[in-house]
Parts: sequence; C-alpha cells; structure tokens
Amino acid sequence: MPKIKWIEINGFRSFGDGPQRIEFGSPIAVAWGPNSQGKTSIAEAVEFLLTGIICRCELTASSQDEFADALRNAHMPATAKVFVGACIETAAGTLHTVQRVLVDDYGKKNKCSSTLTVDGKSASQDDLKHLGLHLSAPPLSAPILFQHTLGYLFSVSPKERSMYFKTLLEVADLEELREAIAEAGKLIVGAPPALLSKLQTCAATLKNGTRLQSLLTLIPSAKGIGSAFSETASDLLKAAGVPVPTDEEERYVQVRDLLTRLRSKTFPMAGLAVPSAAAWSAPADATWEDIEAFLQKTKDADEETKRLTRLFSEVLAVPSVATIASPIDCPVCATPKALTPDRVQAIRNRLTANRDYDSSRRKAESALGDIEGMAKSLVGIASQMRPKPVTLGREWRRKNGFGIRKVRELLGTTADPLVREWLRSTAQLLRAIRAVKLAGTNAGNASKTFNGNLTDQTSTALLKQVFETCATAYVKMGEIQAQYAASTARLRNELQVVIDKRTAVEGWEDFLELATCQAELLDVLAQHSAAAMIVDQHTQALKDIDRAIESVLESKFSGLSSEVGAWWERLRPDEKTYFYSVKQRPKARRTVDFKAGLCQGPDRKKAPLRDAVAVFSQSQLHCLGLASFLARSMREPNGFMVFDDPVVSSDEDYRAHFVCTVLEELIKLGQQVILLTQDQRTWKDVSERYASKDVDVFQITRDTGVTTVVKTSDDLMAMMMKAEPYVRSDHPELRKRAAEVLRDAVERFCKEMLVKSRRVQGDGAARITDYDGRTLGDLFPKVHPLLKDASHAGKLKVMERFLNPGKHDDTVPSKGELTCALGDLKKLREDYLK
Amino acid sequence: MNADTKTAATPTGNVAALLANLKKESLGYKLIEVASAAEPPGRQAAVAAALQAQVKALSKAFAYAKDQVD
Repeated sequence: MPKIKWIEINGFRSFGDGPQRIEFGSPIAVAWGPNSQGKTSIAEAVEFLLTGIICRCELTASSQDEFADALRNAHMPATAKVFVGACIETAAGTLHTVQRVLVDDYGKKNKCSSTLTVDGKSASQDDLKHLGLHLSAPPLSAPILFQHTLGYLFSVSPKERSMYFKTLLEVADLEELREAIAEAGKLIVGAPPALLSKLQTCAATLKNGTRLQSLLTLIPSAKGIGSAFSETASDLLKAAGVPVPTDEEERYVQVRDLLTRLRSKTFPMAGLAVPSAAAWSAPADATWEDIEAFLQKTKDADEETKRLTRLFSEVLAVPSVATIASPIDCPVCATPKALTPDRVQAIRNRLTANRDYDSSRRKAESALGDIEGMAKSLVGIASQMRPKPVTLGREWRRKNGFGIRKVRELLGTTADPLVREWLRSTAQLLRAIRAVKLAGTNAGNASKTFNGNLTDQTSTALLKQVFETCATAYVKMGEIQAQYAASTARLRNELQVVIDKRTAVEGWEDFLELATCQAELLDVLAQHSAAAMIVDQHTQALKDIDRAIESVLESKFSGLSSEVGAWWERLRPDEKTYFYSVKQRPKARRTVDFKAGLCQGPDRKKAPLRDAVAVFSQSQLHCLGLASFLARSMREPNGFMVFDDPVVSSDEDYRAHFVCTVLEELIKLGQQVILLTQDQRTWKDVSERYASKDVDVFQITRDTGVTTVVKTSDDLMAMMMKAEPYVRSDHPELRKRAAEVLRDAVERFCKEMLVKSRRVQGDGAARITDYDGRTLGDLFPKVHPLLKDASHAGKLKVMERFLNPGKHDDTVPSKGELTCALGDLKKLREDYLK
Repeated sequence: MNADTKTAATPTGNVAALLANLKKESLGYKLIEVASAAEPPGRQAAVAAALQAQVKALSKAFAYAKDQVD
C-alpha cells in the first residue's frame, strides 16, 4: 500500500508563501496545535492534493459564494503560487512526487480548479490510481476524517445515504446495467407503423369496431383478420338495412357504395375531386428539324427550277425525250429541233439535284400537322384540368347542394381561411387554364397559317416562340394546379371529418382501406403483438434484476455491517447500547438504516433494535461515524489515513480506546496514520505509547501569522525523553534502541551547538538542516573549539564509543553505559544550550 | 437471444453475484449478460438490439404459427 513520505504546502489556507515540508518516517504521526493554528488546513491540503476540492465546501456551504477565495492565503501576493505536494512511496517501493497547483480559487459562482502533476508531468486523476491512490464515493472521497464529515451519514437524506453506501459497496455498476436495460426497454415499441395507427383509430371510432379492437390484443392470424373484417363489413351493412352478400369482396363493394350514398346525402364530395394533370410538352427538336430542312432546301433551290420542276419531270417522261439521240422538236412549245441531247442531259442533271425537294416538303407538312395537333391537345388538356364544380356545371351544383354556403355551414366560421384559400386557388387555376387555352389556340392557328404558305417561309423562329409561350403557360398552370390540389385536399379533409360525423360513418373510410391490405396488416400485427409480449417480459425481467441486485446488496451490506461493528467494538467495547447493523430498509431500495441494539445486560441476543440515529447519543453517533469511516477506508485501502480531531476530548473512554486499540490495529494492518489534534493529552499519549514506533511528533503554531509545523520528535529534549524508558531496561533489544536514540540525540546536540555558535556570530540563516547527513565523526571536530571545559570533549568521545555498538550488531551497551551517556548529555545541554 | 449476440465469457465480481441470483433461462439473466458484455457507451444500444432480436424472433414465430393455422 502507498505511503506518504512528506507533504509540502505553499500558500494554502493558513500556510504562507514559502514551502513548508512535513516529513514522515514512522507509520504514525501526531501533530498538536491549539485551535485556529492550521490543523484543518493540513488535512484539507492533503484532501485538495488528492481530489482537487475540499469536501467542506460541498457539505456545509449553503451558498457557493461562502467559499469564495477560501483556499488561497488571504495575505499572500496574488502572484504567489498556491500548491500542495507530496512524495508517495508506492507498494513496490518507488517514490513519486505528486503536486497540485491551484489555478482558480472557489469563486462566487464557480468551483475551484487546479492542475495535477506526477513526477513533474501533467497528470489526470486516473494517474493517481497507478500510484495505488483510490478515491472513495464523493463527497467523502479522500481517506481523511474531519469533524464536519463525521456526521455526514446521519445528516444527509436517505437517498444520498443509500447512494453513498451503494457506491462504497461498489454496486453502482449493477445499477448502471439495470438503468441501461430499463432505458433500452423504452425502445422496444417504436413509433407505430401507419397501418397500425390506422387500425387503432379505426377500431376506436368505428361503431362496430369491437372485432377490429380484438385484433390489437390477440396473437394475429390471416384467418382471424379476414374474419374480423368480413364480419365487420357484414355488421355495417346489416345496421344500414342493406342485404349482406355472401362473397367477401362484394361486401366491401357494398360498403363502399353505402358510404358514398350516405356521405353524398350530407355533401357531394365529388365536387372536390381534383382532375389529374395530363402530360404535355413543346414540339421536340426533331420536329423542327424537318421543317427547317425543307426551308433550307427551298432557299437553295433555283427559283426557275422550282417553278418548272413538275414540267421538266413530265417532259423527261416522254419516251422520245427519254431516249433522245439527236435533236427533236420540243414537246411543250413545238419549236423544231429545240431539244438536243445535250439540253435534255442538262435538264436531267438539274432535276437530279433537286430530286428530294418534294419528299422534304411532305415531311415538313407532316411535322407542321403534328405541331398543330399538339397545340390542339394542349387546349384539350387545359379544359380537362378545370375544377370539378366548373365541369360538373351549375345544374349539378344546384341539384346536389354543392356550394360555398353549404361548406361554411358544415365547417363553421373557423374554416373561413380554408374556404377563402380554396376559392382563391380555384380562381387562379381558372385564369391559368384560360391562359393555356389561349396560347394553345394561337399556336394551332400559327401552325396552320405557316403550313399554308410553307414555300414562302424563311424561318421557324416566330412559330417556335408561340410554342414556347404554350410551354410556359402549361408549366405555370401545373404549379397553380398543385396549389389548388393542396388547398382542395385540406378542405376535403376538414369536410370529410364533419361529413363522416354527421353521417355516422366515422372510421368507414379507414376500414375499407385496411380491408384491402390485410396481408400487410398481418405482418404489422405480428410485430405489434411480439413487441407487446416482449415489453411484458422486459418489465418482469427488470423486477427480477431488482430482486437480484437487492440480494447482492444485502450480502454486501452484511459484510460491511460486520466491519463497522468490529471497529465500533474497538472504540466502545461491551456497551449496552451498541451498533447492530447497517442495511437497506426492506422493500425500500433507496433507504439505508443504521440499527442500534439496546440491551440491559451482557446478553445481546434479545436486545431490541432501534434506529441508531434516533437512540444514539451525540458521542455514540460520533463514534459510529468514525467506525463507518474506518470500515470504508479499510475497504479501499490507500495505505494512509488522516484524522483531524477524530475523538471528543471530553469522552475519556472513547478517546483512550481510540489511542490504544484503534491506532494500534491500524498500524498492525499496515496503515500509515496521521493524527491532528488540539487535545494535548491525546498528543502526549500517542507520542509516548508509540515511541517504540518512532512516532513522528509535530507541533503546529501560528506565531508568525502563518502556520508553522515543527517536528518536535527531532529536538534534543524529545530524543532524551524517548531514550529514557529504555536505558535501564534488561532487554538488550530495548537498550539497543535506546543507544540508537541517544546517538541521534548526541548528533542533535552537536548540530544545535554549531547553529547557536553561528547565530551568535551574526549568521541568522543558520539552520539545523544545514548539517543534515553529517555523522558524529564529522561534527565532533567542529564542536570541540566551542566547548568551555576540557572534560566535555572527553565526555563526548566516550559517548560516541558507548553508543556506537548500538548502531551496529555488536555488543549492546550496558545499562550503566547508557545511563552515563544520558546523564552526561543532559549536563552538556544544561551547560551549553539552556 | 440471437446467436450473434456478444456475451461475456466469464462474468466476475458483482455481475457474477447478480447472475447467481437470476434464473439462467430468464430474460433478466440474458439481458444482464448482454449489458455487461458491452462497454458503457454502447450498452443501451446492445440491450435494445437484443430486445429487438427477441421481438423479431417472436414475430417470425407468430408468422410460422399463422402459416400452420392457415
């Protein structure tokens, strides 16, 4: 387990600017200081080092600003660094320097922040784990017991107490698993598919919907679904007095007819049908190419040839001309010998050059015919897209009661915006249709005229432009038609609800739609039933898991109870009122109770149990807090514990048991104990009782305004006192120990002599630590000149000889030698240092 | 539980103690196995996937039953 070799504090709370190092060489250290000298500052410095916070802020601050600027020494310059460092010896024996520097102190609205380094390198909280330093459940994370944390478990809410113990007992992981499983359960049933929603709505609104309702709770089958729908259709028809066909499909047709009839009695919805838009596009490029090709040929052809082409063709068809070998009379004008073979050949060549002129013209005429047809078709399409109330006509509207007044009567005034929007879109659509029809008519006429004077045309540009106007008008009409369709759909949906309600046919439409997709419905219902079943199983699984977690916790609480009980008995053995257990309240997972046993005699078996918080005295609760802390700390051993006045000085028995039994047990268990107390008796008791363990003894003062910690176990008087009980011991091991302490004391005497001499000579900076690591052999030559009596040098020399064997495993000094050495040392101290 | 669901080879510590308090064939046992095999960020998703697999398997079973009946 890790141990603290030293801690170093700078500028933290009552510590001033200038690092104060407190070194620990023993498994137990005790520091005494009156109130307000800085004991708690030391404990909180260690807590800050380990956790980055002080739990007092979390536990006692009623508002955050109470702790504003609490960590930095108020008298220190703002530029001075505030830090706490420590040297940690790991279980493997390696040494590591850990340091935490305060970056921002607690503010009015913010927590403090700090940086952590391990061996000079930036580190995270997790890096402390690698050194064997494990923090417990917050807020009491560090192995440090303060006065203000003793009562924590009795003052917090049952839920917080429960959470604390669960974290301590390390079952938070099970709670996390349980939470993940619970949360995952919420995802079993996702958003219902549209078909399922429709069935749920239909079953709820349809007057004869009980058969459909049952589909939602039973394990589905195709037969069951078919039967439910068929029987429901039968019920609907029977209720309306309509004969029920045997054929299933025929039943749905009858229901549809019935629905249409019933609805139309309330309002003729046919007037709100929206004709679908037919596709139309402007003439393709290929169409124009045929026309433009002909125009090009027209341009290229010789005007005279164009005019005489037909005549030449007929002339060349005359047999005498076709076979001409010598000049003959012209068959057209009868000029004698006018047609020579050369002239006929010239005519033939000219005709060949223009041989596809006619074909091209036919193609162009055909294309123009198509274009004219497209223009007419556009006019037709536009006519078809007229709103139904227009196409059906005034007579239909009057006869069937279709009108805005009726719509307003059905929907009420709240639907006025909807009606106005529909009227506006209807008017816009009519305008757009008129524009398309006009453009189509113009295009048709232009195509016709163009075709009639085809040979005189030179360009298609104007005609194309007319068709572009058609295309633009058609696109615009499509956009407006979409707006009309949307506003009609909105109006229709609103009306549908009212009409169905007035007609008492709510849910019929959904029913008929669902009847057409029974196969899909079967899959959806299978999924729905499976999900519902898994939800039930999941709920049961969570109950099982809760019970199992409780069992695990019960077993862990039982273990913890025994541990708390064992520490309690060390602190308050055989008391009639005693700690009995800490456990969860039955059937209340979030409540943890401390139970006390109340007995009148030594037999605790029949002791009635009560809640400890209610029956324990303040001293007993104090003790229970300490026992709980000890049990907790031993479960998460960090190797050390810091106690800031753990016992009430007025509680003599309790104090004695703590000093004698508890501390001894902790040391036996390998724990390093750092005890800070204001009680001088406790300080002395610990110093003397654990002298054999080389207890580190400190005194805390604040004489100069800042906390100063002095290791008094190192001073000469303390060393002599430590040696005194052993010098006359019969036991060689104890005399050997006395020799070791006395040798350290002689060294200390020499150092104090040298420091005193230097200070007399004006060296105010002289310190004992200047001679750290020096042996008696080094020190004697320096001390000799300072001795006033020649016999004193001899005494020191003899002391060195007496005490030396104690350091080595040679002969252990006798009682006489040790007594003389101690006596001489006392005399020398009187003469030179007092 | 579907075959490709990842499960921890040997649960230890608290999880093992918890499993010892659950019936092996129960859904709770299987869900704890799945949850403990997944790392915390994906734990909920892993359990949700396992539950969805259960729903799917059951749906199929219903479909099979339907075919048999029909």
